[in-house]
Amino acid sequence: MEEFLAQLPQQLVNGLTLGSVYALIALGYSMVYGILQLLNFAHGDVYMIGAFIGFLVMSVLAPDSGALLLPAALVVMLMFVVAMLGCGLLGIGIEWFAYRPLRNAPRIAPLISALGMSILLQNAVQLTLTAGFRVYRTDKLIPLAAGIDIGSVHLSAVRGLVIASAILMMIGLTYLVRRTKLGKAMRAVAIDREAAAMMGVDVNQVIMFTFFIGSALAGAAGVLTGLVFTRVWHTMGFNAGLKGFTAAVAGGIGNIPGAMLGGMLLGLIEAFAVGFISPTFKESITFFVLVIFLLIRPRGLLGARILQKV
Amino acid sequence: MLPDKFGRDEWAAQIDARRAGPSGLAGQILARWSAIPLAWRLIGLLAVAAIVPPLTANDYLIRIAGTICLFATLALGLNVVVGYAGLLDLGYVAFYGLGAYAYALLSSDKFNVHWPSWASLLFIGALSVGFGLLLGSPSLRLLGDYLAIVTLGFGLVFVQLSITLDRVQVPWEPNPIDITGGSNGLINLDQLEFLGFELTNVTHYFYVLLIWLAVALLVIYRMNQSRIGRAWRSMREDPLAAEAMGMPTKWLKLLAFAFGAAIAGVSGGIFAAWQGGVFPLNFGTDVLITIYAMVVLGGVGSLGGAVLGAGLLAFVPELLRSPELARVTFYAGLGLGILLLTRPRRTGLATLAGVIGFGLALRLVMHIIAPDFQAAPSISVAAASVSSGFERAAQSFGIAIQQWIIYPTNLTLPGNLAFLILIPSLMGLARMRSGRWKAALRIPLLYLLAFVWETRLSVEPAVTRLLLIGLMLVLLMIFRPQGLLGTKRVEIA
Amino acid sequence: MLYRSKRLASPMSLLIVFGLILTACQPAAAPAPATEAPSGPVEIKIAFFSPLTGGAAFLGTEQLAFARLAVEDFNKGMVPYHATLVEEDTDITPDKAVPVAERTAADETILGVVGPAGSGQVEATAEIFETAGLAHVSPSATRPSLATAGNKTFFRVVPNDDVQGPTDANYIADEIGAKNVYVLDDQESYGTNLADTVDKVLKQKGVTTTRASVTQADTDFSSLVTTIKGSGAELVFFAGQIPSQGALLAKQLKEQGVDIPVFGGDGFFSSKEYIDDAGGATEGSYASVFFQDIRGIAEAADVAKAADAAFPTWGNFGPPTYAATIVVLEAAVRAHKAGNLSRAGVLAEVAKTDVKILGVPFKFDQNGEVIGATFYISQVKDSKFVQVFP
Repeated sequence: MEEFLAQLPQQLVNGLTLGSVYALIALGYSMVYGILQLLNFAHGDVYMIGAFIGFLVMSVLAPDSGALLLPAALVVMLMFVVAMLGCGLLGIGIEWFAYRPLRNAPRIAPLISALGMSILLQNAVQLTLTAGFRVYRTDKLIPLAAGIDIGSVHLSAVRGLVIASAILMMIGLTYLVRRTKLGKAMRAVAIDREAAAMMGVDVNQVIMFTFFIGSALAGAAGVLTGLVFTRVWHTMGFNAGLKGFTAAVAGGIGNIPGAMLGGMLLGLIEAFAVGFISPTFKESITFFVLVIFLLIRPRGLLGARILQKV
Repeated sequence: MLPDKFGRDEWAAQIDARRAGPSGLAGQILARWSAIPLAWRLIGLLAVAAIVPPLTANDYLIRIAGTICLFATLALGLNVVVGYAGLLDLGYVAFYGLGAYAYALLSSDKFNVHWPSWASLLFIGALSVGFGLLLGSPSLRLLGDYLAIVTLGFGLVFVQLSITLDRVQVPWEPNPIDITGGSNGLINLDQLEFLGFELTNVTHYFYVLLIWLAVALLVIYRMNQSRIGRAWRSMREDPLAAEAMGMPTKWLKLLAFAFGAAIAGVSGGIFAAWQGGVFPLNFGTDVLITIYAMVVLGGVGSLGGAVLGAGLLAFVPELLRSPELARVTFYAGLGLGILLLTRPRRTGLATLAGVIGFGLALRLVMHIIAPDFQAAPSISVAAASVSSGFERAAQSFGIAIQQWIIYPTNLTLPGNLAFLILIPSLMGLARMRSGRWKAALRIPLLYLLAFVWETRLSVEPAVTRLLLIGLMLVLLMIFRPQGLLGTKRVEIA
Repeated sequence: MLYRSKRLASPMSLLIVFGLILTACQPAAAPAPATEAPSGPVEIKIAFFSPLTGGAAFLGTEQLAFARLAVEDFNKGMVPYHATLVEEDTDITPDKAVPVAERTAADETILGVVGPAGSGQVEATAEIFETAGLAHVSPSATRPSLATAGNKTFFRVVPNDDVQGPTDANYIADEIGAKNVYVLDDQESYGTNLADTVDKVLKQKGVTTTRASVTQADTDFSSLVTTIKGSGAELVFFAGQIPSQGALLAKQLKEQGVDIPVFGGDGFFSSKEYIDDAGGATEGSYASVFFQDIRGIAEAADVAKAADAAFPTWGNFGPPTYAATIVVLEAAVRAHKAGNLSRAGVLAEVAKTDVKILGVPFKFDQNGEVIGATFYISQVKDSKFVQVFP
């Protein structure tokens, strides 16, 4: 028991770090599903590309041999900005090419298109950048030992950065959705696309923005993953996408605070499962969480009751 | 892209036009074909397939034929779940694996259990049905997208469990017991044995797989024609309306799952006996994607489509492994594509000529500007080690191509850059309106495509294959969602 | 609502075209080296099986680079002979290796095989090679049962897991003196076998062990590290194949203040990924490898240099591949000199191999195991691998 309590605070930190990343990915899933009722399989791969873009920026500005070309803080900022922009544009491109023609097709068509897009992205990255693992040299930007110790818990600087930036972005997103005109338009389109169109909302533009924001968040998540977990490779989007979706569902799909909550919760569950049950069954445990949620409370923690209109 | 939205009256008015089959030569052949009674059609196809082994002594080819039969059966099973019942089951491969592992455990030295083959296969069928019902029960409550993810998760968990269930702690044993052999898998499985006849080589297994395929075809066809098939179709189109009409949608969904599972499970059992072993990686997402691509390419909901898709995606790739033949196929495909798909034909020929001219001009320009950029062609002379005349012709073609295209010394970087430019440009071109600009832009883009092929795609064939499968799925859904042989579905607003 | 498409021909042909293009994506054989061989060189054609794509591509591409180097060196040094390498991508799963093996067996001009790389693949293709009488020399399949299965055509140039496990465990228990070890594997067949053996031997020596596994796709070990911290382990034995994973574990251990070394398998022996990219976190950690570090061998200096140019991140998988390729080619040369350049001749000569490649002697016993092979343990000291055992 004492061992449990002794490890608990550190596992909390671990879980929150993981959860922040999952939450950012889940947000993109939730937003797109809310507006289009489409499960964007390619979202995980957008996350992966974000991680790679960050890596490329880093290898230019902080080359393996030799010193940084710009101060560390600036390098990190640039990584974020470039990755988020790049992924946002990628998201818009994917929507325009693969999903827009299928707006009125039977439900299965955009799903398969999304699956195809995911495979396409993964293998395009493998073709151009080869199959190996790339490693973020975070230690060049933020020293390995930097961090604060609170009691028995070590909160490293990088983890603090991850948690803080995720929370900041979520606050920013909530502000966007609640207080701005664009956010209002997004909510309107999510409720009823045709009615919103009749009220003068440019549906295509709103959808475009939604994809941009969701993909930008995924890109940020990719950079954060690279910074704290260091390894990026071309199939990392698959697992992360699955977990992001689990988080979105657990929180209530289509619901933004729900996605954040679901993400954090999933991160904590995973950390605790590894710490207190066994690392061997980590993936299976995550999946069982999903199944349990779907069976017992399909609308998730914060979701509204799903009504089917006839 | 025109949205497929019809006003109801217009839709009803066009019913005759829709019912009429394809016109022209294809239509006539189709009409003749449909006129033959079903039994004879099946026997005819079977006879054609069955004479393959006597014709060739090459075990490799017979193995390919067997693999096609196996994958065709799997595609058929998936077709039932996805095509007939409309349930997106991404964990289908788990049933395949389950059947294979079950066979391994029942017919090997692992636990010293050696059941007779017929008993094993029957048991596997029953077990798969059971698991299908189990897996299908979440589907009752879940909408299509959620079901996809849950079933995907099941598939992943299956692979995980097969790897990790080799050290299971049970209370009555001091040491952990090894059930699945972990990542090493299970080997030395018994061969199948029917009525005293033991299957020993590839040809035997091919016949068994062919018979199994025929059985599956027959059963599914019958089921489709029956009330259950109609019920499935109506449930697929509109579950709420079907329920309102009194159909037991719950049972229909479970039945679809169970049926698909049974087919996959027994196929898995036969596969395990054929391979002589089972390994966790046999049942990963790669296989799932391949089967899905087969079904989608052939046409979701179409029997012939599933078999055709399986054939295309499993047969021809194996046969053309030589790089020279691959190159010939690629350029032939490209040329055919240009000629067949542009209307009028004149424009197609003009495009082809334009690409060739463009390439030569570009090569000349590159030669003047940067002569060191290009490398000497890698195939300078038709080697003596090439076996057939056809291959030698293919090599000569390769030499000609390498004279035409810019072949840089360092293939990778220019190829990657070209690839990164190519993909967005192709996407843009696909969505562009037809016109002079589109026709003109096609030429440099086609050249770029050939360039990317030569420098990157042909160098990494396995990656390219998956890349093209992904692209094909997207393009199919946009331009022809019903695949090759499927029937088009529209949603009425 | 259904209707049959009337315009069957056009979209259909599009898809047929697409299908044709898809079929054209096939593994390409290596272009023949552009050597001006004198008229009538003796052609020796061998096949090379390795995972050029898929999860183990990092391994396979390194092996390929070295195999190509070996063929180049052979062609340069043995002018009356000309070797051609038929490169086959077999991924790392057994079912992908089988059709490739059948195709190779059916091609009469292929005299020997280097590979397959995975133990499961060797098992799956054993019968095909036996029937065809094709000698296959594997540079990386280390499952012990492969040699005792009774195959006359299987050989390997590296020692098996039964040697690696006890070697590592004994070193850990005796030299390092750890009393509490956390044993991890990566759920791949190589890792689990090795970890099981090490666990068993450590337990026999009275060391407390905790056993767990992770996957190759795991990105975060921090929760695991917290558990390791709580278990009081003095060393983590990580039977993994991916160096960046080992480096990540070491980094996260350091991050939480758990200052214990990581002991890894062959895969970790990569200077760039395990040492440089770890930024100092792997200082003091170990890797056990099945082949000597050829950078320390004078005879292998040229090969090492050429490899640096061709494949900068090479580690421990390349050199045995070089050796395996040369073994087959040398055997073919001897077979030709004995007047029997055929599969049977090559097979007989491979069994009689007694050569020195890269400064290391190679000889096989009657099961195909290489004689005198041992495992080498290196430690990271001052950002470099230093051999500490034997």
